[in-house]
Amino acid sequence: MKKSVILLILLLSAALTWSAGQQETPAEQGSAAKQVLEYWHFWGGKSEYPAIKKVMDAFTAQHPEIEIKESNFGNAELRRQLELSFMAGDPPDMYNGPVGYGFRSYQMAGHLQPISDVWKEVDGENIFPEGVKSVVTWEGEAWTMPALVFQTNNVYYNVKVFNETGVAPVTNYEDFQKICNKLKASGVNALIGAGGSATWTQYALFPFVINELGPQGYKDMAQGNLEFDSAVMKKLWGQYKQYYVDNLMEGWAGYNWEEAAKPLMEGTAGMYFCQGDWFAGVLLTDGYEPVKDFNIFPAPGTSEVFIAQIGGFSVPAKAKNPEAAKLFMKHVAEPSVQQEFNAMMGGIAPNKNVSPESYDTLHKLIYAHFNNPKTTVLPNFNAVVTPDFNRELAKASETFCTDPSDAVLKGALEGLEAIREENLASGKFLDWGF
Amino acid sequence: MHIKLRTEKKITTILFLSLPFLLFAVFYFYPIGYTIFLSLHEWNGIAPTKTPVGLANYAFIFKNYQFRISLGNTIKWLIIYVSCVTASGLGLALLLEKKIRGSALFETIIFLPTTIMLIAAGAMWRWLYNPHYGFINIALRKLGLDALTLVWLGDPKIATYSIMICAIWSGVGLAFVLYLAGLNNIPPEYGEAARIDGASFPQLFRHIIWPMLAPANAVVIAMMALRAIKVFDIVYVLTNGGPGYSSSVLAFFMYDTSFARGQFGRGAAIATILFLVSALIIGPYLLYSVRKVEAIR
Repeated sequence: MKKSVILLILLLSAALTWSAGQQETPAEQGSAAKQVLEYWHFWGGKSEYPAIKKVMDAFTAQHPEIEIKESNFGNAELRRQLELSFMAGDPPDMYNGPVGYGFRSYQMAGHLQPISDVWKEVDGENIFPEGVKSVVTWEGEAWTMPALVFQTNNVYYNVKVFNETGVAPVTNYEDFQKICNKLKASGVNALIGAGGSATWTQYALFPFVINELGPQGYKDMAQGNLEFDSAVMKKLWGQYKQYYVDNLMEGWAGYNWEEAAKPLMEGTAGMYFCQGDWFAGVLLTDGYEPVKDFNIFPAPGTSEVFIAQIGGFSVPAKAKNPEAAKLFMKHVAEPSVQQEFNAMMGGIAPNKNVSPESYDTLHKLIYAHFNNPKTTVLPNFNAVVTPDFNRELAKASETFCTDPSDAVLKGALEGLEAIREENLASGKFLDWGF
Repeated sequence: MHIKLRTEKKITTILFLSLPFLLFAVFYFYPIGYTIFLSLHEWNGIAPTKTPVGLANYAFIFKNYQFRISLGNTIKWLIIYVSCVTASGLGLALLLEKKIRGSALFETIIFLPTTIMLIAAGAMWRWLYNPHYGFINIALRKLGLDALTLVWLGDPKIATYSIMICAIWSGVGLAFVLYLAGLNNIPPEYGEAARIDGASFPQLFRHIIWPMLAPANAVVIAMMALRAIKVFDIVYVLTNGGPGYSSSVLAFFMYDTSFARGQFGRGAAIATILFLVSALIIGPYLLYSVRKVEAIR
């Protein structure tokens, strides 16, 4: 090859490499074309992505000078990517983050910036209820703009199966077992569950804690005050086995949470014990009607409790374009945006100014329950304990569900007690004021 | 003059070796050293400071239930995955060694799964394994083999083996190609002479083919053993180490501990253990293989 050709190739390669290495600041980008808002989220499910896309499209229609560069990860993968980006000093401008302990660990490490300015602009103190505010604020500053509230202690059931079997929602476990027995006698599996993530079996454990020990028991567990080698804990897990594990259909662990909708709605299983209301989003997307095709009732023992999984937006400390992120947060706090977003996601809006009339029949019930003065709103467990403790509890529940033997229970409780003691000794249990 | 030449030669050698050594130091020694350093600390991955804890992370890991299961599963992967992939790869290579009509097509079909990223293969197999709607169980039911329909990914007793089937399907192609190349390198006169002397195929295989495949064996077994020891992506996609911890392996345990639990110090300790396990298993095997190959040459 001629030397001149080789030289030309080398020069072109160098030029391309140099230009690829150039990074514009948002201001420079703005001066060239649009500002970029880099946004990371985990809403990739069939009901989730259209919902967040709609919010983003509405925002860019109002702010044509801003272009959203979004990346979608799975829930667990988003946290990993986020932590890596913090280590590298190159985080996104905004992300959907875990509330409570999730943001607290980032905030303590100096990776987050408060959003108290935009919080004040949207009047966060008055538009959001106490249960929500307790896990998005810390020491007088706001860190997450809440956009979704899901309840995670509901039992979803197939209305047709219930009608044909002649059963109805119940409030205690003895009657719950009778429903399960009747379903099984009529050839329908009592409960579908989901594998793929240990979170789902963990959600099913909390109603038994609350049924036995009340909301205070849940708080005690979240603050490390409930010993796992105690007699009451063994009793709880015994009830968990009796009323949940022993009623699960065969093969439940082979389904992920979205796939579990199929056996429920096809009538292979009668109920899905404790899944977040994002499950309603899947059923709505699949064309099922609330109340007519599927309905919910609170898990026995939790009729005056609302375990809330809260979704929101946060801004990293080293965000390149925090102004655009805060504009987006202001947009997402608006009642109309929250109403539309939650209608598609299956949740309810944390903004109290969203009219309850805007919800479908099912979500009117959920909303009414959330805002009932008698209801105790408890934040989801993963928001109020360390990731290690939460993961251990989730894995313990999943392991026990697949092998509910005494040996497995003993090992699970020993592991949990060891981590509880470790977290207690190092002051990792926090008082979230709920 | 001689001394000047020798010194110049030394300097030239050092200069030429310095860049690869620097790369090796930066991308090999430094990460290993830093991992060992991190394993002696408690760190959540994002805090600005790390707390020294000595060997406490190792003590915790060796008492940990998930570690015992993960180590056991890694050993299962080492034995079952390696033997299945090598046996299948070799078997297919022996079948297709003689160029028959359609050999090229068969070779392509066998190698194709290797070209698919394991993550994508996992997503596909997840669908195949669905207990009620997956192709495998539907096919078994249609064939009247209902008893064989299993909860492939949801039964803790078989989840690991189900993942292995996917990984074996993906890995056989590479073993096949390497063994085929090895078989094609065996001088045909050896086989012909043996056949003339009345050797049966098993004798031919034992005394000629297998010894002559030593270089290919060294490569295939070492590669598959390394894959088995550091398997992670397929476990993550198919079962997330579950149900419970039943399909967890050391690499997954390391990832789970670091990122799901925010325990980077313990994760680094697991990485160090994994490194030592790999070195202890692969190192002696490689030494033995290299000596065997030299002996054959």
